Amino acid sequence: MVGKAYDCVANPLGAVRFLFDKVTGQGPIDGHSSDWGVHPLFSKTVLEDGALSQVPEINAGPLDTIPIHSLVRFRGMVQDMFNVDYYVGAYKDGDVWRTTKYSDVAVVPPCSEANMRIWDRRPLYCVPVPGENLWVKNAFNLRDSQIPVSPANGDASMNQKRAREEFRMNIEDMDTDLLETNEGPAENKRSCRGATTSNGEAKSPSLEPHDLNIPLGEKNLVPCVVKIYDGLDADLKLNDIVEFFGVLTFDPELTRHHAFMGEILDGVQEAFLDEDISSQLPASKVPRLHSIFHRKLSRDNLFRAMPRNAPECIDLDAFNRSSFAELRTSLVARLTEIFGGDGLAAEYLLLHLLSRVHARVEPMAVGKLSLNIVESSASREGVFLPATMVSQAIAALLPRSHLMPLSLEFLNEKPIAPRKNYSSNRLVTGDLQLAEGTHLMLDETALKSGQLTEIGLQNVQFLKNLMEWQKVEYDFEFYKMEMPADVPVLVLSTARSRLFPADVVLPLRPTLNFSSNLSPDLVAKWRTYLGAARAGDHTIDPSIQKILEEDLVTARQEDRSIGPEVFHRWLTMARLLSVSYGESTLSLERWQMVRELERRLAERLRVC
Amino acid sequence: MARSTRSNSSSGAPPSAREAPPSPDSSPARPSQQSSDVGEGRRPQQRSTSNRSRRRSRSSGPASSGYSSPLDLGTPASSQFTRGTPSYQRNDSGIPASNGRRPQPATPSSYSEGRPSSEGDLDGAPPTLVWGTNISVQDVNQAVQRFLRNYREKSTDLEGKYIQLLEQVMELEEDSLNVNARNILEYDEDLYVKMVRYPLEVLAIFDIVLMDMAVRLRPLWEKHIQVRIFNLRDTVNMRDLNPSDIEKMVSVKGMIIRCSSIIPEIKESFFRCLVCGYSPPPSGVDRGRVEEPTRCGRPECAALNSMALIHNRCRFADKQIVRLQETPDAIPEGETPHTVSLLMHDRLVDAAKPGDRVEITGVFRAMSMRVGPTQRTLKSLFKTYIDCLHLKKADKGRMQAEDPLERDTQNENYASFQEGDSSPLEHEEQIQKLKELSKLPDIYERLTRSLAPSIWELEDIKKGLLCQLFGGSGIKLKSGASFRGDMNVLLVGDPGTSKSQLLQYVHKLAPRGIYTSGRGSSAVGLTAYVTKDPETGETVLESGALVLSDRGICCIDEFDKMSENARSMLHEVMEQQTVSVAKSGIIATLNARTSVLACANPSGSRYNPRMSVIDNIQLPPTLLSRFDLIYLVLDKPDEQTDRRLARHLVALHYEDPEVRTQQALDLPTLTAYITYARQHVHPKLSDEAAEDLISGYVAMRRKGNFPGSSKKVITATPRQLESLIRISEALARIRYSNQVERCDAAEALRLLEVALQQSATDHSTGTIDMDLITTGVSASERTRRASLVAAVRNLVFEKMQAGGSTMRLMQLLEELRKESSAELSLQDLRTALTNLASEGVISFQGDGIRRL
Repeated sequence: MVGKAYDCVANPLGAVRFLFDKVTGQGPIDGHSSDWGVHPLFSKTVLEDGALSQVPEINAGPLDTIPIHSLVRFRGMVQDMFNVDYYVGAYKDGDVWRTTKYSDVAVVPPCSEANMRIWDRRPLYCVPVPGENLWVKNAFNLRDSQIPVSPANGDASMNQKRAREEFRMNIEDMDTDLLETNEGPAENKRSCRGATTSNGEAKSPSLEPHDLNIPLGEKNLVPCVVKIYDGLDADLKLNDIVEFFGVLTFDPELTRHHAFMGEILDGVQEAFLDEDISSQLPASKVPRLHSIFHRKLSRDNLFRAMPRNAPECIDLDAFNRSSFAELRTSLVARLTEIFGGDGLAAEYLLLHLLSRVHARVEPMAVGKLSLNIVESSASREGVFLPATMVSQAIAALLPRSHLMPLSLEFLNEKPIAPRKNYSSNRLVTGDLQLAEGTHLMLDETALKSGQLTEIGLQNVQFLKNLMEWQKVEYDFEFYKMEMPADVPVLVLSTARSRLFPADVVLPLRPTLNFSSNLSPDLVAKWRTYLGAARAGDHTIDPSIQKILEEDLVTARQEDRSIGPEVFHRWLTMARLLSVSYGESTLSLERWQMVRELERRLAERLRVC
Repeated sequence: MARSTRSNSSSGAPPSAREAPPSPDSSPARPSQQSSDVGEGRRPQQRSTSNRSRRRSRSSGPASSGYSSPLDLGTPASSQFTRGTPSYQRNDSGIPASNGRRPQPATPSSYSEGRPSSEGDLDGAPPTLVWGTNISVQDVNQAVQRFLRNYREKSTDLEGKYIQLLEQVMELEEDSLNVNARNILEYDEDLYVKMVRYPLEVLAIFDIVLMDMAVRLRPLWEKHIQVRIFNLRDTVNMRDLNPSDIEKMVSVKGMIIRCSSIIPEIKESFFRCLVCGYSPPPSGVDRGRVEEPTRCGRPECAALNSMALIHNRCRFADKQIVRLQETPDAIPEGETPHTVSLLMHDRLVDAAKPGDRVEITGVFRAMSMRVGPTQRTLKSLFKTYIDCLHLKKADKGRMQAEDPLERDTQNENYASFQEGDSSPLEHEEQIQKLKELSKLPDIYERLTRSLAPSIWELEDIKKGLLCQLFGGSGIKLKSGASFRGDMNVLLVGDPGTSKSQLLQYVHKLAPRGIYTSGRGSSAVGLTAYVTKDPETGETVLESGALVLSDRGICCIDEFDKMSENARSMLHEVMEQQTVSVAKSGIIATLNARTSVLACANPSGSRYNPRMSVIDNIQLPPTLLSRFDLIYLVLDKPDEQTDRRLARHLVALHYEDPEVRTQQALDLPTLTAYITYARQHVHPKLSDEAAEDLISGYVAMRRKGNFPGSSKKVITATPRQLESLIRISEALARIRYSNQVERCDAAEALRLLEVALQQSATDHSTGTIDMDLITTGVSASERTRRASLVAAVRNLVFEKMQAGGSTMRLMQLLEELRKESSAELSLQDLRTALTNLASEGVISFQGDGIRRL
C-alpha cells in the first residue's frame, strides 16, 4: 500500500498521523472516533511480520531505556477499571485537522466546537501479573539477539530475587532522574520538560508503595495506566491477563496542571479534581500506555504467544499421546522425589496442578480440586517438608503461583480481598486478586496460637470461600460483589486442616529424603506439557457414563459414608487423569485408576 | 441569541470587546441573570422570572441590562446561556420568545461566555430558532402550552392533569412541579424528542409557560415554580454514556456512594465600611469572584480599603457534588462499577444519602478546564457530570430483612421529591414481574426448585427453608409483648446429606446472615482465637463469630459441637430475640431479631434407627422446642435415589450445565421476590385456616400423649402452634397473598409432620421406621406412593369385608399387578399397607391383612 513512510515501532504516532491524514484528506471527519486502519496495520506488523521482539517491554528493563512515544508492550493484569475519559480527539489547527489519539496532549489551542471532536477512551489500571514466575518473564523478554536464558531450575527464587534486586536499583535511579535523562524522539516533549522539574514533580503527592497497588508485594515492577480506544476494551474483564501494544507517553504537564489549578478553582471544580485519578498517580511511577491493540493471554494461548525462540514455545500440535505419557511419567517421577518417595502424593499433586474450574453450576464450581497435604509430625522424626521447596517446584512448572504463609501477623494485617476506597475512588487490591490459573499455596504450618482479629477472621473466611466456591468477595462498601476466581489451592498443614477443608486430604508418607532438584533439561517440556494438558478438552462416552453411574451406586450401597462430595471428587479426578494422559474421552482404564488412587488414599487415611 | 450572533462567534474570532476575559472557572460559574429581589418594584411577572432564572440560572435578565447590573452567579447549568440572551421579557406583550440557543457540546466554556447579544438581533427578527437547528422557539412554546393545558390522564378528566397539579403545588407553596416525561411522550412525541435533545432550551420554555399559567391562575403569584422532569422513556446504563450524550437529557440509575459537603456559593455580596458603617446595596457576583470595593462609596467618608464583607448578610446558594455508582445488578460479570458525578442544586442538596439507590434525571455535561487563569488554551481532557434535575429514590433491591414495623418513616427530603403525580411508578416493571410470578400456580414448587438447585432432592427441607426465608409476620402488641415472625430451623442428619451446602446457600441468600461453626463458638465478641490441639496438631478456631445478626439469618453448622454455654445464650435469642451481655457490672440487652438455621449430626454421628428420635438428636428439649421445624435428614440406602444422584452428578461434570436449571428463578430474582414479600406482604390468618390449624394442633398433641411415651417423642407444645401460624403465614407470603388460606394451613401441618418424620414414627417406642421415611423422596415419588395407597385402599374395600377373613400379602400383590401396568414391588406394597394401617382402615400383621 505505501512505502515505509512511517516506522511503526520507533515512531508509531507518525504512522497514526500518516493514516489519519490520509483519511481526513478525503473528507470531513465524523463525530465518532474511527480506526483509520491503525489497528490492522500494527497488529500485522508486530504479530505477523515479526517485529514483536523489537518492541521493548515495560518491566523487562529499566523504564528510562525506552524512548518516549515509541511502541512498547506491557504484559499485565487488569486490576482496576477507571471511568471513561472524554478528550478532544481531533481539532482543526488552521486548515488542518490534527488528532490527539494515542497520545497525552495536555492542551489544545482554542477553537470552536465545530472544529473539535470529543471522543472517549477507557483507562485501565494494569499491574504486572501477580505471581508470575520468572521463566515466563524470561520467555517473553527474549529478543532476537539474546540467547535464551537457561531455564529456571530449583533455585528459581534465587534467580528471581537477584533479578529483582537489580531491577529495583534501576527503578530507583529512574525515579530520580527520569525527568532529566529521558530524551525521546518526539519534539513536543521538550516543551513540557522545562516546566516539569520545578513544578510537576514537586507538587505531585508523594506516594506510598501501596498506593500503586502492586499485588503480592512485588515492589520492583511498575504498573501502567493503559488507555484503550474505540471500545476495544469490551472483551476485557477484571483480572484478565493481557498484553498491550501501544504508545508510551509521558506528559508531566498533566500532573502539573492539577497542582497548579488547585489554587484558583472554586469548590465545585476542586471536588471534581479530587476524583481525578491521574492526579494521584505520578507519571514517573506509573507510565501511561495508549494501547493500539492488545491480546488476551489465557491458558490456551500463553505458550503460543511467547516469542518463537523461547524454550517453552513448543508447537502444541506436535504433542501426541505417547509424548504426553512419557512426559507424565518423568514428571511424576520427579514429583515423587520431591515428596521423598511418596508416589501417591505425586499423583495427587499432578492432578491438583491440572485442575481448573470448567463449569459453574451456582453456587458450585465444577472441576476444582483443592489439596491438603498433611505432614503429621509422627510420620518422620523432625524432618518436615519445607513449604518453600514445594512452592519452588510449582513455581518452576506453572506460569503463576504464590506461596502464602498463614501467620497470624499476615492474617491480621489487612484484608486480602480487594475493596473499594471511595476517597481515592480506586480499588485497593488484596492478595486474593489473582488471575485465573494462578496457583495458591497456603502454608498452615506457619500458623501459631494467638488472637485473630476481625480482619483475620474475615481473611480466613475469604480463603475458605475461595477454596469452596472459587469466588472472592470484593467489598464495595455499600454492597459486595462476588468475583469468580479459578485458583487451585494447596494447603500444607501438620494435621488435617479444619480451617480450610480441602477436596483431597493427603497424609504424606515419605520414605526418602526430600529433594529439590529439577532436572533443567526437561523442565521446559514439563511446563508446556502442563499447559497443554490443562487446556485440554474432555468428554465422556454414553456407555462409559452408564458404567460410571453403576459404579457410583454400588459404591454408595456398600459404604454409606460416600456422599455426593466423594462422587464429585472422583468425577473431577477422572477428568484430570484423562487429560494428564492427553486423552479427550474418559476410558474405563482411567476410571479404575481413579478408584485405585482413592482406595490407596482411603487406606492411608484409615491408618492415621 | 439569534443566529447572526452565533455565526459571528463560531468563527473563532475573539468575541466582542464587551466580553470579559475568559477565566478558568467561567464554565460552572456563569453570570447569567439579574438579581432582582431586593427592593425593585417590578411587575410580578418579571420578578418571578428572575426568580426562576436564579434558580436554574438558565435564562437571563433583560437584554438591556449590561454588565454593570448586579449579576447572579449561575450554576453550571447556566453556562450554556449567555447573559444577554434576549428573553421573553422583552416582548412580554406578545408571545414569549425565549431564545433558545443550541448548546455547544464541545466547548461549553469557551463559547458560552456572557456574550451580550447585539442590540438589534431580535427586533423584527423572524421566528427565533434554537441555534444550530431549525426548531422554532415559538413552536416549542406552543407545544408546551398545549401539553400542560390539555394533557389528561383519562379522557374523562375534566381538567388537565398538570393544571390540577399546578394548583396543588401553588396551594402547598411548593417550588417545583414534577412532570412525567412519559406523559409528554404520549401527548406529543415531537416535543419529547426535542426536550431530550435540547433540554436546556426546552426546559427554559417550560418554566416560562408554567409561570404564565401560574400567574393566570393567581395574578399575584410570585414564587417561582420549576419543572422537574422524570421518568424518561429510556434509562441509560451508566457505562453506555458516551460523547454523543453530552448536553442531552439522560436518566441514570445507580447508588449514591459519596456526597461532598455542601458548597455554599455566594450569590450576593454585602459590604460595609468599617470606618463609617456605610453599606452599598448588595452586589452580585461576577464569575465566582467578588469585587471588593477599594473605597467607601459614601462621598463624605471615602476611606480607602475600609470595606469588609459581612458574611451573614450575603446570600448564598447550595451546591453539592454527588457520586453515583452502578448498582451491582447493572455490572457485567468481571467488571468494576462505573461512577458518574452529579451536581445537585438547592433543594436537591442532601436529598439522598450515600447508600441510597436512586434514579436521576438530568443533563449530561462535559466541562473543560483552562490551563491557567490567563491562558486561552484548553486542557484536552473534559470532566463529565450530570446536572441533576430530578431525583427519585428507589427501593433497596436486596433483601434487607427490614422489619416492616420499623421501616424508616420517609424523611422529608424524600417526600419533597416524590413524584408530583400519584401514579405508582416505583419499580413498576419489576414489581409487576414479581407479581406475575406470584400468580403462577406452581410458584411454590418453582421457588423450591430455585433454592439450591445443585442440591439434589430434599424438597421438603427446601420448602421449610423457603418458609424461613420468607418468615411469618411478627406482631408487637401494645402491651409491649411481641411475637416473633422469624422462624428457626434445625437440620439433624447423617453426614454427607448436603446439610452444610444448604446452610451455605441460605447464607448467600440472606445478606445479613452469618455463617459459623458451632465448634468453639462463643455467642458474643468479634474476635477469635486460634489454638493448636497439642495432641493432633489440629488448628482450631475458637471464634466468637456467632455475633448474632440482627434481622438476618444466623447459620450454625455443627450445632451439636457447640458448648453448653454458647447454647444457653441461644435460648434467649430464639425466643425473646435479644442477647444479654454482662460486662463489668452492666447487663446490656441487645436486639437480636434473627432466625437461626442450625444443623447437627445425630449423637452417634449416624442416625441410629434403633433409638428414639430424641435420643438420636441429643439436644435439650428446651432448645428443641424453640425450633419451628426440625428436619431429620436421614440417608436411607435407596438404590433409586443413589442412581439419580449418580446420574445428576455425572451430568453435572460432563454436560452443559445450562440445560438443567430451567424453570428455576435466578438468584437476583429470587432475592427480589423474597425482599418484596418481606416488605410488602403481611398476611393475616383467615378464620377457616385458623380452625384447621387448631384442629391439626390438637391432633398432634393427642399423638404425643401415648402413655409412657412422653419422653421418647417430640411432643407438641403451644410453641408448635405458634410455629404452625408462622409457617402458614410464610406460605401465604410466598403466594403474595394477604390472607392465610386453608391450603396454607394444610401445607404447614404437612411440613411440620414431614420434618419430624412423624408419619414414620412409632409413637409407642419413639423410633422411626426407616422404610417410611419420606424426606429425600421426590414429589413424583410421593404421588406415586400416594396413588398406590389409594389403589390398595380401593382394592381392600372392594375385596374384603369389615372384620372378614384375612388376605395374604402375596395375594394382594397379584391382584394389584393385574390391575395396573406399573411396576410394583413387595416393598412398595408394604409401605402402602402400613400407611393404611395407621389410618385405621386395616390391620396388618406379618403376612395377613384384615379389614377393620
